[in-house]
Amino acid sequence: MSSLNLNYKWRSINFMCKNEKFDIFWKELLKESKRKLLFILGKGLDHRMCMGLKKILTVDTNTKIDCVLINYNEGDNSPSHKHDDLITKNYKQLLSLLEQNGINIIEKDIEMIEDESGRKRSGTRNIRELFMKDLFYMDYSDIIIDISAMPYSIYFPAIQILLIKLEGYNMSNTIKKNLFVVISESPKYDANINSKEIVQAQFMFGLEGNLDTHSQSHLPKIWLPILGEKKLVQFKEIQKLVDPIDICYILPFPSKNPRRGDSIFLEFKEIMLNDKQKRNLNNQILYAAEQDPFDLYRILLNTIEKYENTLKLLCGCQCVISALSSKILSLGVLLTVYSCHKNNKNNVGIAYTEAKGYNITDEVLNNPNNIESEHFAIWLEGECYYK
Amino acid sequence: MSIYDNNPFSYKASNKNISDNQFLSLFEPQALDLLINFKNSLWQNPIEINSVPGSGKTTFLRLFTPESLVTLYQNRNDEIYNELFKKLSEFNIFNTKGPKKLGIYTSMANYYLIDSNHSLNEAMRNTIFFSLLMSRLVISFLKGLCILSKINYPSELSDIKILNIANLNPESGIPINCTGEDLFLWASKMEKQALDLNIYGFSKEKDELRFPHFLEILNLFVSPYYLYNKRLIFETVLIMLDEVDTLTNNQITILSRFLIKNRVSNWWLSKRIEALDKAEIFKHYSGTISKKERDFETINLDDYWYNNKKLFNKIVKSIANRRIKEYPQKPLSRFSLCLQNNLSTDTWMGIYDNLKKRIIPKIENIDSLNNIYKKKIPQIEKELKKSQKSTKNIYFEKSKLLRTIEILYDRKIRGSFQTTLIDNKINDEEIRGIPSNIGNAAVMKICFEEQLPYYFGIDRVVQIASNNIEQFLYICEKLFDEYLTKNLLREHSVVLTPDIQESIIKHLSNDFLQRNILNLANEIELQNLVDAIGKLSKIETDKPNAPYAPGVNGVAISLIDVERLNRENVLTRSDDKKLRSILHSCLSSNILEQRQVRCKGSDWLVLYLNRLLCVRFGLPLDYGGYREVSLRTLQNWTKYGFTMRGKGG
Repeated sequence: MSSLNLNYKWRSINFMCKNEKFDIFWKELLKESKRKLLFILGKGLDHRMCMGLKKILTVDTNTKIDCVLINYNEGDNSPSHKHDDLITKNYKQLLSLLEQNGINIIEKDIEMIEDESGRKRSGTRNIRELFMKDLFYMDYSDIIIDISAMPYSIYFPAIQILLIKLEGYNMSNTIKKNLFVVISESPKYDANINSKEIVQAQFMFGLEGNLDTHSQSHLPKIWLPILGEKKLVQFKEIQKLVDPIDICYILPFPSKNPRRGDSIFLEFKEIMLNDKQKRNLNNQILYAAEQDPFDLYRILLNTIEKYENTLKLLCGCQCVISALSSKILSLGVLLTVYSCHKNNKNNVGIAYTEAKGYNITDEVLNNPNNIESEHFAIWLEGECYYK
Repeated sequence: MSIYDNNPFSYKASNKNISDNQFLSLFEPQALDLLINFKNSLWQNPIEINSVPGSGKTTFLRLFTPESLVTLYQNRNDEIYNELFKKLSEFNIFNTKGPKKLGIYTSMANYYLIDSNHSLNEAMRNTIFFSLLMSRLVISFLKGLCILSKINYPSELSDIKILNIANLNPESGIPINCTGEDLFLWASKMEKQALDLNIYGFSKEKDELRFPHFLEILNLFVSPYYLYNKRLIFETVLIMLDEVDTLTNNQITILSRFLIKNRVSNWWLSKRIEALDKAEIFKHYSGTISKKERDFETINLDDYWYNNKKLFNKIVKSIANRRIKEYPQKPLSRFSLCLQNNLSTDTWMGIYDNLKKRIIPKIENIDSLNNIYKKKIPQIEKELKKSQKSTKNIYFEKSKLLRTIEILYDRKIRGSFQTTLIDNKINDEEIRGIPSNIGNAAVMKICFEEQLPYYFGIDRVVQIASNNIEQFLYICEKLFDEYLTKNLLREHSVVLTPDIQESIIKHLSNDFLQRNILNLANEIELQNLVDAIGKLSKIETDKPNAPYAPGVNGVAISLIDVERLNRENVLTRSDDKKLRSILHSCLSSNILEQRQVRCKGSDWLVLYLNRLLCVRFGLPLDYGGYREVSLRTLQNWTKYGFTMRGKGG
């Protein structure tokens, strides 16, 4: 692959595996004894927090691994404190897993809020600063970031900076460093985690492109929300911020539950059908494969390109993308914006909302193990892109 | 969301999707009365506008943007806009050629992130903050110049000539003797540079700009230097900063210090109130300045509407009437024509008969009450005849009187009735002296006892709005939806009966609580607290002698307790922290309203239930009735729900 193509590298080359292939992949990859792994994960209430690491350790115990745990400080008033016992349980489980396998742990604290009210969120900025300044990950051949227990506001900037740093390194070095994203995905579990106290929407710090630039504010905005269940409040908040002239809804299909896209449509139908600007819905809904971020990546890039070409005569447009979907699909959003910025297309950016905390329903609290998860590994940067 | 396309109540006037024409046609000119008190200082001192969400801050600011003012001036002779034009003209906004004020509007959301940039020192962070703000003000100013000159922004900025601006330091780097386009490019570069510094810690621009001093940028906003077609474009500017509450305390302090110290006029700052302390923007700084320098004004929209209920009633009714005209499919001149505003004469006749049977025997042996009844009934008949009101009101008024007398009877039984009123020698003046709130309590009691609808009619809808325009529109939207459904296939319109209105409003009341609580932390504790306030209020309201007529719908905590809650130190108890958080959630989502009162020699903070929630608990809609409680009581309620033990502290 030529270096030029690297800018949109995931369009033609990408690598992702799941479930059985997840095990086989790690077994094969970790055969090489010279590898030094860094496993980054978030300390959270999600019972999937340690699943990815556990899985990898079952296929290989010889590779040298270090672990970085991101601790988010949500403040005293966060609704998540209700589940402090779950966080402690997950943390203890992690410590015991690491101890059994002789793995070192480094903990990094991230302040998520600016003041007691919790309305002013600074997690995105702080995680960015941490990864920009503290290059703790550059000593490793392979970096794995497990986003199963991380919010968007943390893993989007973290992966963005990791990509910038590792791509920079790999361009000028023969021995490449690898970046993998690991996700334990479970739509049922996700549907039982409710965001609490959703704050005002904003453009994501560092991934906003020119969206927040007032000198460009005269350009019309096109909004591409990737829809998921129970995101109506977030949708309305972001819509208020973006104030788009056109909305292009993206629904998950193909999906494990073939009617999932329809169900989501039904949830949003009032908004979609009551559109004051009376847009033609037939042309406004796109579908992206539920478990393939690269499919979404291609769809988003093509759509943005089409809008840009259409509106070129009217001085162009700004494209705003919002991930209101599952984690695996949200990755497609990040990759799209990352690629666009890399190509100096700064008219593309992310709008999002954060919640002051989360609440897990009793249904999954009582029986967390009854909910099945699928394990995904996504290779974002490294050897496979340079061969 | 409305089930009908284009329900005229389903959008906010400040919504950017609403055209300027539509916005102006919806704006109620009487709302500008709130500026009358500031007529002399309006353009002299900085003004801060405070309110809870939904009170109309952004709508208010939008009126003063160049887009609105130009549209208004162009359509000034049109009947729809004429009144608003005249009203605004009183504030010296227009000259003979058009708007002479250039409103520069900008939102302050997201500036707070600058202060969390720990890799920069405080001075640098402040420089970035001001540079970003000033560059955006310049961009907004240039856009305003284009609108006033009726040219395209930004493509025709080069047609605006900028002369040599006096008082401008030539070394500041600010372009002078140039075109609007040059100034736009300079401001865009400054904005980009400030954003880059904030995100990356360095500027990505090749030629770095020197950030000029902020006062120098203010010199830019002076009239005689801007020409289009050799003509002056504006006389003075008005700078409007919205969402100032999203700034950090440090940013609010440096901004207010800057404005006050430099005696900057024509700045309006709007701030959302959601904390217990109601801190004002300029108070962040005012502690350190002399009294003489303290020249700023505060407009609290909530207090203003609360203290001017009649005006609020008039304004929102007028807003509803303006909106209804936006729906040509069902031509109506007034929104109230959709609603049945009274119960039928037959209903009141029946009630009056029932009340007579019940109450007259009770008061037969009490001369004073009997006298009131005998003297007042002919009086009512005479007055109503004189005012030529329809006869159906007679039975309503008679029933109200009779039930009022029963309340007085219950008070007498409990020994709380004024002795003058039970004196046998009662005179006309004393009869008239029966407080109207007892009458209101009487009407409410009749409705609840007889299972008649109480929450209906345009005046109650206005009360249920809780002095909040957004909430009023929300209720009207649902009522109008039902009205449209009822009339979908009819040739002749039917109005919404009181039963239907009440059932819709009750549904909204439950929905309001669920919708707001669902998204909040401490959902169970919060629900417990609201339920407890509702239950306590109901018990007090339902007392036969109506001791707090027309009833109770709030609780009060002493300001000493409020201070304890707001205190932040190591000794702060976790229970206090939790209660503060719950109250904060309630206030910021309009579940509770706060009012400061002085009673029994002490200062209190009354936490009233939102009027829409009063419907849920069957409470009166008037303000004024509350019970004092301790923090301990509130804490217990949040944990265990309502218990009578500990009531009142």
